[in-house]
Amino acid sequence: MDKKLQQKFIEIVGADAGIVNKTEQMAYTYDASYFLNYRSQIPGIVLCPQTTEQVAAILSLANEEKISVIPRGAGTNVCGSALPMEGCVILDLTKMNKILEVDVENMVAVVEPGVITEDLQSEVARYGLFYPPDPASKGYSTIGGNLALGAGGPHGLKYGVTKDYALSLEVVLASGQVIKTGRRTIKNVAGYDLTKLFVGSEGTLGVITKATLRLITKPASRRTIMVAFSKLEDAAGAVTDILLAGVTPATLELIDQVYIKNIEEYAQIGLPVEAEAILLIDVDGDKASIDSQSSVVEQVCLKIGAKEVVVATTEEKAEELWKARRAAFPAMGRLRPTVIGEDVTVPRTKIPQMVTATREISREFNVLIGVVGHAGDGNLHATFLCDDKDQEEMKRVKEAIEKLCNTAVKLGGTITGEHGVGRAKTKYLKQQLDEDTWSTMLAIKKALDPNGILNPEVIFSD
Amino acid sequence: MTNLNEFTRELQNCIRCGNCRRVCPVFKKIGTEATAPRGKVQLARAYDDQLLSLDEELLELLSYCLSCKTCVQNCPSGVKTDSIVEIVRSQAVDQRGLPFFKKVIFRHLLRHKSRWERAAKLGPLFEKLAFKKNQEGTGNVPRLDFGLGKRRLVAPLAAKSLRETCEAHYYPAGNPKLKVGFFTGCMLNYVYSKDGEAVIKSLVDHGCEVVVPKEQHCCGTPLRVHGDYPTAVELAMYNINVFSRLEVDRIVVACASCGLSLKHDFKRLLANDSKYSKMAADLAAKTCDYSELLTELGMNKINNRFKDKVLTYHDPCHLRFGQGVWQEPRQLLRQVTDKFVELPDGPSCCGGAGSFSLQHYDMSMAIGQDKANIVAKMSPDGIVTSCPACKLQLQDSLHQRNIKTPVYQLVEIFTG
Repeated sequence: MDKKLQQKFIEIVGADAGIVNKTEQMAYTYDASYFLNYRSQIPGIVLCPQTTEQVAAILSLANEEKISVIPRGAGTNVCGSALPMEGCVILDLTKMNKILEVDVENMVAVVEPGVITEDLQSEVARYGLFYPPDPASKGYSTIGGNLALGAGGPHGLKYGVTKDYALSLEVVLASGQVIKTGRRTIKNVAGYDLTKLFVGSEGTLGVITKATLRLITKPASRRTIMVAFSKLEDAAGAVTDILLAGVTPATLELIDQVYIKNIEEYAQIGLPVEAEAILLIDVDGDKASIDSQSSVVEQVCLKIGAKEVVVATTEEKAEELWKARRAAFPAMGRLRPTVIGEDVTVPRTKIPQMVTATREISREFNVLIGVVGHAGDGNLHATFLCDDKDQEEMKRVKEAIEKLCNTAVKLGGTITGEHGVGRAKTKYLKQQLDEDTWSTMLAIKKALDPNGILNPEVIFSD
Repeated sequence: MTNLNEFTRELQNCIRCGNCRRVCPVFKKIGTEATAPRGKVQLARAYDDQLLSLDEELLELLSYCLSCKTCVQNCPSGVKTDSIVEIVRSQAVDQRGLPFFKKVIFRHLLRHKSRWERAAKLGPLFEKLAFKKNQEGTGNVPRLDFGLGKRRLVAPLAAKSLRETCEAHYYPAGNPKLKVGFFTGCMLNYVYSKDGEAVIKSLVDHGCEVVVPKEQHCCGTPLRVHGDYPTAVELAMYNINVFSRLEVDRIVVACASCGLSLKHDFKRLLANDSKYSKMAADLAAKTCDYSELLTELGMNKINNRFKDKVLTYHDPCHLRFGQGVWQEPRQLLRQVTDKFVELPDGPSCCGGAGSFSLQHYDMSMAIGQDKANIVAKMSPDGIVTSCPACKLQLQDSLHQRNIKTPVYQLVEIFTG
């Protein structure tokens, strides 16, 4: 980017909020995806705006000059949605991090995009309120990032995901116009539901600069139950049985043996490393409800042949289990240098088939796959462990992933439940979307971003 | 890990999840990715992959590391960020040499024990010229602002160093339970010499025969952390020679960084030396922190001075995260007072980080203020720690806010 244009951008945010130093910019050329090849895409400038007006001025100028803009929160997405383009503007939104309002009586919070999800959860908990969406990265990912990617998490089954909690957004469009979607009310059908359009749009349709989020009453307490199974298929079957027995647990996570062994090495909390799979189940509510729910869970699991049922006796022990669960995916870095977490989701009843298919794919292509995830809502993360310096292995991994996506789509599922398309799945999108549906999406993109400056290469490949 | 192949492999362990952004004390203050542990590791990787050169800008960014290991403790992949940063710094020293000031201190003074001690003897003299006692009499403040920051509180240098004034050999009354060598480290030797004397007295009172080899020298942490591996190796070998001649059961330290050096970093630096790798391992196996040794011996006389006092404990990073020692100090303190309370929010770096506080005083103070805020809210009767460098930083941090809470080295609680 030439110095004059850099200077124009810096005038918008101030010299302290612009990074032109090439070394410091290198820290913005990756995210939490496996893509390392974007490190040679040298950004034009990194900008850290503090206000919506600054974001609008930046986009307006970028649109005029036809410069790509890459919006970015903490950069913890795993699909490659915050990677640079040569000469681009990287829009680091983490300095816009204020919780603007917690309206306790209306159970609504208004936040800037850089607020860290767990910080919001802690703040509203002080008022007895609850923001349920809990992606594993919630301790360090931002609300803005969660919204842009449509983040999920273990609470998805009972409480829904990020898109179910966004009531209203302030969005800056590629043109620099600032629009407001939705309203503070739970019900609102005035015009098209633009809020749902922007959630999950991965920074390709606009930049979110403010969000009004729905909150609910915090459950009185929760109980964490860990169930060990000697057969992976039994664990998968138990998932449906629990729900059919009338219990909707707050979480219903499945962890396979590859993962169990590795998590135990990292966390050392006494996980049953001989089990083929464990279910990590939270039931919540008041005490009477927790008692009856956990009793049902225990009965169902034992009936299907669970090896053991362990209830966390204190909140500390429960949190210990959950911290280990949230660290599961990154802890895989201990096993192999390249960790690719897939995200296919199928209807719940197809989970046993999906699990079996995953194991077969592992054998067929001779690739190491660990399985962890939100079995309750059908979203299992098949995690491929490999070494990107081994070309031959990566070829097999690529083929295995393609078959995995194909299988999920054939079972009526989706290639991505919560991670996003990013750059990782652009090539599989047309396995799932027919031509007309895909073209409709592209038409919307072109209408809102005619110059194609917002996160090019993401979602749509050429 | 000093070997470059291991370095490359260690870099691959980071899969860029971002968990470390949650816990890094420096990142919490500055907030840009390059200062997060993930950023530092990825910049180091970019350098290793020849996408970045080892220039001033890279070194400046990497200088924002406390080597506190909070990130290592919390990393699901166990990435050794502080070692990675140190290795890049050592590459810079190999390729470009040391900057002038560091060259003088590390290579011309510290490396040559007798020169260093002669210079150190002049210390108290210069100190009187440059510093004056602060109003409360708790420490010294600079007379003029010559780079240290006029408001900075420093503990005065001991008029005579610990090793100049103490005996070489102490015998307990009765049969010795253990024979112990005392690795004093520089802070106890030159600054908190009274705390060093207290360690000796405490161990003798508990039945130890204590040997204080006068020839011992700096453990080398400051220069190792700045990347001067050649001198760090020399100091490691020198100290290993001094202590391996002693025939002691234990080597006791009362400084968290010295303890980490002896238990861990000497081994790491000398891993490829056929003779010294074994000696370093033997030294490490015998090394224990004062709190570990007192726990092993069993406290025999409970000091009533603190019986009803509300005491809290600050974990030195190099003791808790570096050595995994955190239960012993608490168990000991709980024997002395009924009113031991934990600092809320768990262990966190004081921000001192040795020479970090010289290079980045403002950042060091900003981090220290978080600790001061907590102490202000809690108002304990005292805050105890097991590291003289932490003690120095805590005293300075509290002094900035006019908080009167005394800071104690652990040994002070059990003696006097």
